[in-house]
Order: sequence, then C-alpha cells, then structure tokens
Amino acid sequence: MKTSDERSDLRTSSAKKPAECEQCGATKRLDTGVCVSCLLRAGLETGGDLSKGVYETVLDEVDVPDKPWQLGNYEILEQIGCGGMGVIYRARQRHSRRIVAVKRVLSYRADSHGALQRFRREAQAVASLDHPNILPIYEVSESEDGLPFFSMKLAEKGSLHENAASLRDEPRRCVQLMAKVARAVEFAHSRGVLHRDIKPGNILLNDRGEPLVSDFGLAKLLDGNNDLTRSLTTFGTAGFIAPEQAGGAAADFTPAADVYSLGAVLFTVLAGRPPFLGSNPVFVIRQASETQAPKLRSLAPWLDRDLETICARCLERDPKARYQSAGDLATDLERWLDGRPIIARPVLPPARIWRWSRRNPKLVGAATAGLVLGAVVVSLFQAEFFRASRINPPDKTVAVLPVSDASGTKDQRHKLAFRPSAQEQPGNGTYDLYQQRLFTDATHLTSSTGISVPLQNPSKPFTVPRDISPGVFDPHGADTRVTAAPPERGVAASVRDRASEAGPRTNKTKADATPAPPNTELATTVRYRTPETGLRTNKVTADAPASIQGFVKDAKGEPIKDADLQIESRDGKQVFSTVKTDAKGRYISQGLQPGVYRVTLLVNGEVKASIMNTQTKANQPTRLNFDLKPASQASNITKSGKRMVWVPARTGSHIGGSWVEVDDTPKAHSGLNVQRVTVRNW
Amino acid sequence: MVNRKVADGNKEGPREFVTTRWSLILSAADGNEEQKARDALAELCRTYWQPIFSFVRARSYSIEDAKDLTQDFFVTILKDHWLQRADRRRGRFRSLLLRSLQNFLINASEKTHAHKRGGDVEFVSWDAWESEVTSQPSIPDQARDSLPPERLFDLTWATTVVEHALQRLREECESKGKLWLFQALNSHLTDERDQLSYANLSAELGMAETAVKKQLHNMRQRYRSLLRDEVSQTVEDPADVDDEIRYLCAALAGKTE
Repeated sequence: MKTSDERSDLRTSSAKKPAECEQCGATKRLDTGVCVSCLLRAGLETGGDLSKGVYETVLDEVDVPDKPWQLGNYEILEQIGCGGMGVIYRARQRHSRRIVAVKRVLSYRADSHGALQRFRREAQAVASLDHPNILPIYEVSESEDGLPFFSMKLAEKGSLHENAASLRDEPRRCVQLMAKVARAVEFAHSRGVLHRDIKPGNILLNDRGEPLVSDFGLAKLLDGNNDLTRSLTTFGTAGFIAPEQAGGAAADFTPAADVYSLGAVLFTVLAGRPPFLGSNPVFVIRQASETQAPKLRSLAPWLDRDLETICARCLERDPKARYQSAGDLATDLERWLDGRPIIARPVLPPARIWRWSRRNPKLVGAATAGLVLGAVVVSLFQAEFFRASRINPPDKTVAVLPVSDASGTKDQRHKLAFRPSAQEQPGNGTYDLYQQRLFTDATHLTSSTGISVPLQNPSKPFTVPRDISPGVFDPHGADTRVTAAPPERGVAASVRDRASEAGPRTNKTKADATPAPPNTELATTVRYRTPETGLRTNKVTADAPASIQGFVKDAKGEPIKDADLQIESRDGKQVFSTVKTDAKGRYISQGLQPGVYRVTLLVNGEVKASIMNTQTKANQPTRLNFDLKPASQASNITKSGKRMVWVPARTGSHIGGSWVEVDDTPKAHSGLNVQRVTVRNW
Repeated sequence: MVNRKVADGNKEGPREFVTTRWSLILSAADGNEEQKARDALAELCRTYWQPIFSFVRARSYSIEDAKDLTQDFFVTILKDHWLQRADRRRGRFRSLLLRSLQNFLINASEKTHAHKRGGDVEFVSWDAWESEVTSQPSIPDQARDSLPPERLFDLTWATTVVEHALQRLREECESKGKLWLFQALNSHLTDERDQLSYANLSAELGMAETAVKKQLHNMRQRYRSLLRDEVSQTVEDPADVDDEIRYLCAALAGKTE
C-alpha cells in the first residue's frame, strides 16, 4: 500500500529511469516504472470495450474495504458520497484527530474545468458565510496531483433526503427544520450568495438534528461578475429548481428562485414526494414551468391548510408572487409554529385567473373563443359518450400504456390496465368497483427500458410459501413477470379471457391465452387484491406480521443497490415506509398490516415503477421483484393488430378515462412493437 | 459529424453514433452548435496544454514567457475563429494544433506585446500552472535541450494521453472506494504473464489469486477502453484511433535521450 506521499503515481520521471524497456526498447517511463510506450500499445490490443458501468460492477465484487490513505493533512477513512462533481469522504484530521468530511473534485469528468470552477466557487461562497445552519468549511487545500479539496463539518445524521421517511410523521418538526433552513438561506442572500440548488439532499442534519445547508457548488455571488455562470444553461436539480432557473439567463435569478426551492423541499418533506414528478428532468422542469404545483393537501389531506398556503406561495410560477425573501418564508413558518395567523393568503380562483391572463394576454382571446368551441364539443361528446356505453368491446386486453393522470399523483406513469367488460364501463354502475378492483398500474419512466414486475405465474398462481420467513426469502426464486414497455415504444400486453371465468369472480386472474415465447419475460397473470373487509387504511406497526420483499435488477440483470422502495397507501397519498435495496438488490419491508399497498420504486430519486394493489397477508411475505428490461423484448409478446384498450385517468374526484386504439403490429426494421397509438372517444 | 462505434460492452448490440470532441469542433466550423464546439475545443486545449507549453519552452523561451505565450495561444485559437482560418484539410487535432502553434510563434516573435498576455482570460487556471509547471518532470532539461521541439511535442502528447487515461482509471477506482486496488495493480498493467507474481499481489491485497487475476484483467480492459476514448477525442473518426496510437508509439520508439 502506497502512502499519499508516494501517490504521485502518475507523474513521469524519464530522467530518473532512463533504462530501456525490456519489451519495447523505449525509455520513457512513468514514476511507477511502467513504460509509456507499452501503455500506449495496450490500446492496440484486441478485445472488447469495457464500459464504466460494467467495470464498476467488477470493482464492487471486491468486498474488502479501501485502506486509509492520506490526502493532505487528512487520513481518508471511507467514502460517504459520490456526486457528479466529486467524492465526499469521512476523514480524520491528522493533528487534531477531528473527524471531518472531505470533499474532493474528480477532474476527468466530461466537464472537468467547469467542475473545478464550481468547486472553487463553493469554497469561496461558503467561506463568506458564518451561520449556525450553514455547513462550515474548515480548510481549502490541494492534493499532490493538483486537485483542490476542502474539509468541512461532518453531518452525522445524513441529509433531509435520507431522513425524509421518519420526518414525514412529524410535520411540526419538518416546519421547524425548514424555518431554520429558510433563515440560513436568508443569511446567505444577505451576504450576496444565491444557493441555487436547494434540495433535501443538500440539507444535512448534525448530531443534534439541527439542519445545515450545504453544497454551494452552484452558488452565485449576487454582486459577482462571473463568466462561468453565463455559460451554464440549467442549474440545480429538477423537481426543486424554480421554473425561471431552467434555461433562464443566470443574471435573471433572484432570491425568489431559492424561495421556490425551499417551498419545494417543504412540500417534499410534508407530502412525501416533490411537487412534480416525471420520467426525466426535462419533463419535470417543463411541468414546473407550465402547470401549477399540486396542492399540498391533495396529497396529504391531514395537514394544516396554512401549510398548504405557505407551500403554494413558495411554488408560484411567477417569482413576484412568491414570498419576497427567504426571511418572509421563515417568518410565516415561525408564525405557524407559534400558532399565530400566517401572513400568506391562499390565492382565490379569480385572482389566479387574473394572474394567468396577465401572463398570457394573447391566450385570453383564444381562450374566449375556445370556450365557445368547447360548448359545442361538449354537446357532441355527450352524444358520443352515450354511444360508447352501448359498445360491446372485445373481451381480451391488458395493456401497459402511458396515461396522463391529472391528479398529479402519478403523472406520466404507464398503467397496466384491464379493459372492463361492457357492464363495468363508466356510467354503468359497477364502475367504482371496477376502479377499485381492476387496475394494476405498472409504471415506468425511462424510455430505454421496460419494467418487469413479477405478479403471478399462470401455472403457479401467486402464492407465497408459508415456510418462507421474511428474513430468508430467496430473491432469485422463479417468478413470472409482467414486462411493461415504455410508452413511446409500445404496448406489452397479456390477455385475459374474462368470458372464460366460471363461477364467482375470484381475486386471481389467469391470463394469456398465448404463451409467451421462451425468451421473453411476459407477464401472464395479474393478481387482484381481495375484496376488502375491515381495514382500509394500512399502517406499519412494530408487531404487524405482513411484509413485502423482493429484488431490483437493471437491464443487464445486475442488482441495483440503494434503490428506494416506498410502501404507500393504495392511493399513493401516504407513505408508510421506505426501504432501500442492499448490495444484492434485495429489499424487505416488514411490520406491515395485512392489506393492500402501492409499492413505488425509485432509483436515484427517480420514480421507475409504481405497483398498485400489492396485497400483503399475515405471516406470508409478499414478493415483488423489479426487473428493468429493454423494451425490445416486449415486441415479441404481442399479437399483431389493432385493438382497443381502456385507459383510466383521474382528475380530482372525477374518475374517467378513454378508449385507446392500439396498433401493435411489429415494425420489422426497428423492433418496436407499436407503430401508432391514437386516442379516440367512443 | 458523427461516427460509428461499437456500443460499450455489447459486441452484438446495436451500433451507436458517437461524437468525438474533435469531430464536434470540425462540425462547428461548418456553423453548427458553435457554443458546444467552443466548449469542446477549450476542454481539449486544457487537456493538452503541456505539449504546447513544452514546445514553446523548447523554442528557448523562459518559463514565464512560455507561460504567457501558451496562454496567448489558447486565447487566440478560442477567440479568433481559429478553425475558420486554419488549414481545413481535416488533419488530426494534434497535428493541426502544432501547425497553428508554429505559425503563432512566428507571428509572436515579431510582435511587441502591448498587453499582458492572457490577462483577459484565465484559460488554464494560474494555480494549476504553478503546481504543474514547476514540477514538470515529463520534460527533463536534458531531453528539452537535445530534442527538436516537434519531437518533444509528440513525446509530451503521448505521455499526456497515457496519464489522462490512467488518471480516469484511478478516479473510477477511487469513486468506488477501491483506490488501493488501483495503486497495487496499475504498475502491472503492461506486465507479461511470466513477469507477474499473483501470489505476491494476492498477499499484498488480501485477496484470492483468482480474484486478483480477474481484477487485473478487467483493469487492463478498462484502461484500454479509456485510452482509446482519450485518443478518439482528438481524431475525427474513431476508426483513426489505431493509426494515432501507432504514430505516438513511433514517436516514443525513437531515441528520446
């Protein structure tokens, strides 16, 4: 093991070692004695490329931890974080023996120069901020290889992101934390520093649970004249940045952008999810720019209305309509904590319309014309709607489709929807029952992969062996999975023959008249929940006997570790617990009450899937495995041709949907299994 | 200007189009995505500042003058639409940069420098200059005096390519908490089988011999990919990577001291 003093391993020293290389005769060598020419020739060797991802998996196989090494005056003990810009270590200061965090930039990233500049800016920004709720930097230095690093206070309890699940049950504590954070941000603003990347992951908690604002890597000095800030296009993290931050000129940013982010964080810790969700950052940013944030109480109805008002005020799209300073936000949060009336007032619909019309003067005229046109369309729609109820649709369909869920709770997810029989269509009385019983949504947000969710095996209906305890389940057990294809790629379908079901309807649905080709991961069965008797609200309690467990694997079949599994209420409005996958991609959530849950998979904070109606039973572990599969596999599993599927959608309390015509004729040259999807009202 | 390249880790998989930095820069000279191309050019220049600096030094300039001229050269090619005026025979980045540098130095020697060179743009940060220039072991005085500047340029270029690939490899290991693995194995990347003692490495690392073999094999593969990626950034077509590596090997193969 070399020490840091010896770690100038990349320096060349041909002067010291002029001996000719035994292999090639060249004389130029690195400090390590390796011949430069031989290192170059290695590039000519035959052999396939090894990607970074695969190599990292190979590195992961070595489970002996890294040995301590020296970086300046610090003994590096272990890595505690790795971001786009660099690595964060837990380290011991050599002389004081103090345990600190050391942040070190990794230079050879795509934007290495930019990363270095941001790194230096962070040190510069934080050095000017001395506040009890801003993470202090102790020392800025440079390593032997010329790369800067700095040491800072180690936040023992991790970030707000990591503590979100436990905080969610304590709204008052959330507000206390955020009031302090807002005061700290106000302080930074008063010193001329905009943070610009406030998010739960950047708010750390010290050993006393006090919040510390960190990561000023994107900070902008308000009075500074920094060329760099002009060349970057988008700052911050989608879901938490203000709409004006996306694509706007850096010079236009004001403290109101940080106020927006503070509101988004408050919203997230209270509601359990950010105001906007989406398949990719661009989509999320667009949503934030174009639509009003959902109301807090639409996701967490038990919360105080004043908190909803405060969040809404922060999340206004117009910066002028927000709190004018982080201090104003802090004041309102403190007033709420003291039981005094808050200053912010809810925006009433007339005011909202007036604001909208001011922002969109050209659209006002068009909207007026649209109203007239709309009246005509509605009358036509009514005629079509009643006609639809007379249609006798085909019997077999299960499809995974993109839907827009206007409730905002699970936007842009793709639902595995069963087409109801004619009697169960909206307007025919049994629709509510249908809504409760027949929807299983497999959501999927990446365009390049599909999701395979083990539901039930047709030959082995969903049963969990009684002898498997929650702790010793086998994540590799044989499962049959539903593969959900991404929306733009197509529709993966299995088929259920409703007409063939004899006798009273059971909760288990056998499906798929056509067996899947052997090389596909086709779902053949979908489990429905049992009719609910008794408890409708499931809770997590210590002695509760039910559990959900399984594994998460990526497209290459490699386990995904540290993915978040949220065990939510069926409507997704409450999160009962969040568990992470381990190094082998396994997870287990124990202590659940028997009942029906929604299970949402997040990888790196991004929602990948949300499985509705996951049933748990007492003393029977429920297995739910996630395989992210390339969508192309779905192309083999559908029969060609056009068919109709019913796609549910919900707007507030209104439950509706539309018939979608799906043409899943495979496209021979592209491997896509859907060429066209058209929505048509019947 | 995109080029075809086999997708990583999937020999049977679909071929994807990749853009090298140099191809991006050349395409920008045709008027596309100018800002991206400027960024790419700036990044390439920052990566390969050492060969530039060593060439200038070899022209008998003092360290301070060489710093100024190098900084000036970067400013010139970044601000003066270098590509539009450069010889557009689509040479490789290395050779085009060298030709431009030669022309630049001819002009520079005729000028009186009225302003502080590079004063308006700090292209390579001054801290980096200080820390790297003063401990510049890759250009020993003896070599600098005995070699023609063009040859020194190529030598330094080859070394930079290798160093960058190794640095990236090291950072990938470091970011996974496996820096010690890199340190133990990186000096054996080019060893022949009979030169290696897996038993010693196994004892040093506390790993089974088979695990050491696997890690070394994969580290070699990954290094090879990174090296080729580094080189590919400076050629227009990734198919030219082999030729570029051979050229640099040939530059190293001659008598360097």
